Amino acid sequence: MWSGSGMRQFHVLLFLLFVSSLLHAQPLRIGVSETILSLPLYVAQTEGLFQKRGVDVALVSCVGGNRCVKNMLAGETDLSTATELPVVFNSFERSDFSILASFVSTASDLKVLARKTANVSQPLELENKRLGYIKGTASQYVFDLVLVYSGVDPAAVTTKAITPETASQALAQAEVDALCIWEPFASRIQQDLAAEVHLVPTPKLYTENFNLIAMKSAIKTRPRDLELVLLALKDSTDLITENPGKAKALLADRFDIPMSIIENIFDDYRFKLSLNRSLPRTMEGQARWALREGHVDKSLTQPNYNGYLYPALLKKVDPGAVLLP
Amino acid sequence: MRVSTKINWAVLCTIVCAVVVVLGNMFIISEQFKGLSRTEKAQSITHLSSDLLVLTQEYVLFQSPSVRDAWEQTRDELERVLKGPFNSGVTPPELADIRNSLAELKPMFETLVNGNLQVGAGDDFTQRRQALIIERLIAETQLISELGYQWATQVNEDQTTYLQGLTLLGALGLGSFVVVIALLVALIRGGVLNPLIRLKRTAEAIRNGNEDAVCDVSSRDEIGDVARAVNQMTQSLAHKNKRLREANARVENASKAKTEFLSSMSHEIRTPLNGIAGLTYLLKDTAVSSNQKLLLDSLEKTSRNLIDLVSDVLDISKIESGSMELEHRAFSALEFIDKVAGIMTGAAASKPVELIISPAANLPPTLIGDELRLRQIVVNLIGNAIKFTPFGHVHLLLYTVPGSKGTCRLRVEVQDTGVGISPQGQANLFQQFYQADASVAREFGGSGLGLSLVKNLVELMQGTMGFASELGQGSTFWAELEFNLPKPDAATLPESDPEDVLLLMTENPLQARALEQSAKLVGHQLACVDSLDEAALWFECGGQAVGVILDFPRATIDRLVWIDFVKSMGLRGVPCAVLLGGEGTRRLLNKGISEIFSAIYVKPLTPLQLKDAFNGLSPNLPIRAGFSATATDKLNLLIVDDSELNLNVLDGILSRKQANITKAKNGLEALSFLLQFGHGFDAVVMDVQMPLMDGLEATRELRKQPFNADLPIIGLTGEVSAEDEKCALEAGMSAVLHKPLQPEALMSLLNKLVKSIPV
Repeated sequence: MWSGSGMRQFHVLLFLLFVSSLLHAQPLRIGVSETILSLPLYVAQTEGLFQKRGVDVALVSCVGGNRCVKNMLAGETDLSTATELPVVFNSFERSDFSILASFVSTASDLKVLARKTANVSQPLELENKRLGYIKGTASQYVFDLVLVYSGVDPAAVTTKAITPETASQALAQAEVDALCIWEPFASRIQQDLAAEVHLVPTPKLYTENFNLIAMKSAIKTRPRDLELVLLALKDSTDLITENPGKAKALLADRFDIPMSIIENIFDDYRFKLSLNRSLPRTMEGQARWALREGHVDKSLTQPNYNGYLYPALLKKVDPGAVLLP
Repeated sequence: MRVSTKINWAVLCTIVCAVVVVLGNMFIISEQFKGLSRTEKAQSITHLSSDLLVLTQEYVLFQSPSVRDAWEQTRDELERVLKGPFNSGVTPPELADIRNSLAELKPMFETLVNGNLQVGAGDDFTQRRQALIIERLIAETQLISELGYQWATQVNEDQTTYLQGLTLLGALGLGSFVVVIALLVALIRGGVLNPLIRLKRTAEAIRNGNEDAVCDVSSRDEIGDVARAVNQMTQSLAHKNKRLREANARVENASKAKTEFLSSMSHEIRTPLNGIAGLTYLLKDTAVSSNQKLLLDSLEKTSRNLIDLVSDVLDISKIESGSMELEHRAFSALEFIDKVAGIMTGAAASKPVELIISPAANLPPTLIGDELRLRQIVVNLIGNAIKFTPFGHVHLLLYTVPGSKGTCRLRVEVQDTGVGISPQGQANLFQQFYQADASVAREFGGSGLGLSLVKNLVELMQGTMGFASELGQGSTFWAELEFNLPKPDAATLPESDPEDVLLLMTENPLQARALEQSAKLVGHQLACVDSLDEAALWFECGGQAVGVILDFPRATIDRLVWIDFVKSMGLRGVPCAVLLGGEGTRRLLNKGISEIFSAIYVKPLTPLQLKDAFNGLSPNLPIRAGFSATATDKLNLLIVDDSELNLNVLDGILSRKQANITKAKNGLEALSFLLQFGHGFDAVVMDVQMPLMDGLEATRELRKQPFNADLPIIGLTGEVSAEDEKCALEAGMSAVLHKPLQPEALMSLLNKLVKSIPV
């Protein structure tokens, strides 16, 4: 016969099992930044690769990786996609998330656009100009790198924080002389304001990676689902490499961009799963930059970014893609 | 599909497969070399990019000019390797990225090198810029290193995949080859071998007599053509066989009817023929003229020949119809030989042909079987041999060959020195009514039934026979027949005195060997010499013999020498007998020495004659075995006639009168008794007309002996003329009786001439 306390323990156990089954039954939510860099996720969804791998995924759209990360940290999603910089900014405050894999790398996603009337044909001519940037993103970081590398003291320019949605308007209304923004916003602004803006050539100073970031709680509770997501992403990157035309068509349709623009920029992206040593090195550089420029509290200590990388799952899925111990 | 097409396809497929496998292997080897080239390039890029990363960090730390030079050289080398051609013709994205990064790296490094000159002198911005450049420089070189490593990894993976693919391709090639070979084997087996096996089975079935056998091969190729031809041939064969069987049945029926007809007719014909022959014989004795007698002789001879022919036909018919039954009775082998010799003596004596009988020394004394049929076989073979041998000899050999236990396989072999048979004649020798050629029939006569009858008899007796012959060299006919043997206790050996030694003087070594074996068979020893001188020498050297047999030579003899020899033998107490051939009789008589011999034998000398030779004889007082002139009150009569029938009639008449009868078949044989001094005969009843030596000549010869001067000799003649009777009386006969014989007249005459005969 069950005693009274025994019966209670049994009921609690049944409840926990019920909650656990409910959690497992829910789809895995991934915050996806609306950028070309998210193409592997779009392809996986469109081609049903998640279903093929047996994982239920819900893509939650967000503008920019910074917002996606914030949403994840807020518990709105289980995973998010973003470049390294949002991870670096949040790493000073939290450590309950990790990068599972990079699935795109590019040195040309961020572009500097200038109003033609501003007479900026090279980075050096940005001096004393009003520059727009998206705060807390690679836009801010790349703009700074371009200025310093080109010999322009960032103190000699006027900066203005903008958002991707207002970037085109800021340029059109001459609120800024130039701005730094990622694709496809850059191409769209070029398309919309073709007569007023032009692309400023910049040296290759930053090779950004677009990463799949997960809450550690999700890694702990649903490792198998995350492994299946990585498998689906591998299927997706392989499909893009093997059938780029289909991927381009999907991009053009998704972002309403003419195919000609897609054709011009598509080859700048490398769709491939990886987790390399250059990733924590880049993050450390960005952390130093953030501390130096005061984007974070200077009293904070630079984190150890090895703790923000979780290569175990990718090693299972694609051992050759991991160059980390 | 034709077999030739199949074979062409098979050869073509094999060649194609071989070419594909060779080309595939060449492609695989070529691709492996390409892969090796890619791997070497990947190793170089990895190595150089790693070096570049290390040199960048080293330069940042030490700003050494040598490191700077090394950095620039490494970068240039890396750029050179990246510019090199790629197997695919398209630069891989990793290498394109490395190339782009390398292009970005050069101005950065130059900026760093130039900025170094200002280190320590610059403001914060300059230091910050320099730090940025250093950081970017290291980050980019690391990126290049990682890209290089990734590409090397990719190359290795590709290479692994490629090798797997090539291995698979090789396996597929070999597998395809094996499959093609297997298909070819299946094609050959199914399309060629299996139909051939079915064809073979059909052929075997046809060979085993299955006329309904059908080859189930319907393919439209060469084998199918053969199968259809075989099927057609089988149908045709079956049809022909059916017709042959029907024809054979008709022939068998016809043959059976013929045999029955012949059997019936032969029997019916033989009965009156016997009557004709008997009546002719009787008629011959009553012939009044010599011309009539000559015609009756011919008629009798022709009738006898016809009877013989009909007898042969009847025998063959009986054998063919299966109605001839064999006797199974014990008979004496020696008596058998004696009978055969008695039958054939006349035939041989009428020609310059010597008949020699060689019985093996181990010939069983008693055999169990059909003596009559054996004699028929042997007599036919000897008769044939004598008929076809103009001169020389006919040699009968009898010996045993190994047979089953309790039986004796007797081989009878007749060798002659006759005309031989041509190869063409040999082919049909045993066919009925066949002779070697028409000239044979013309020259030698005969019906051509003899050998056929012999063959039928031998087969009936489950024996075998054969012959060997060469034209002009003579022939040898043989038959092997199996006889049972009596139980050992019944087969007693003839009693013989091992001390009895006979001396034979002959110039014929064949005769010597034959008589030597005959002597052994009856328990005598025979010593042989080839001349009188040797015979005399033999005795002088201590030889002891119970008698001497002198083979009368064909060459001229010295009469006095012979007389001296016989006399000298007489002095030794050794009787001498003479052995005569056909032509020897006359010469012996001409020499006038016939009276000096104790006995006269006519060839062939048989074992039984040899056994009884010199029994009870002495050189001075020859006495016939069985009776003595002084020891009996019965008359001892010698009756001489060539007719067995007449002899039997005389025997019957005189035996009733309590007379001892001795028979002789001709004058010569009579002389062999009567020339012996003290022969003991009281009278002789002798036919006038006889072969070899007639009654007149025999009378004249025996009258030459003083002790025969008063011997009553009664002649029997069919002639009724006074002239004939006169001739008989002149020859020395005491009286003459005419045939047909009147017993009372004979007894009366005997009573008159020999007083002691009661009538």
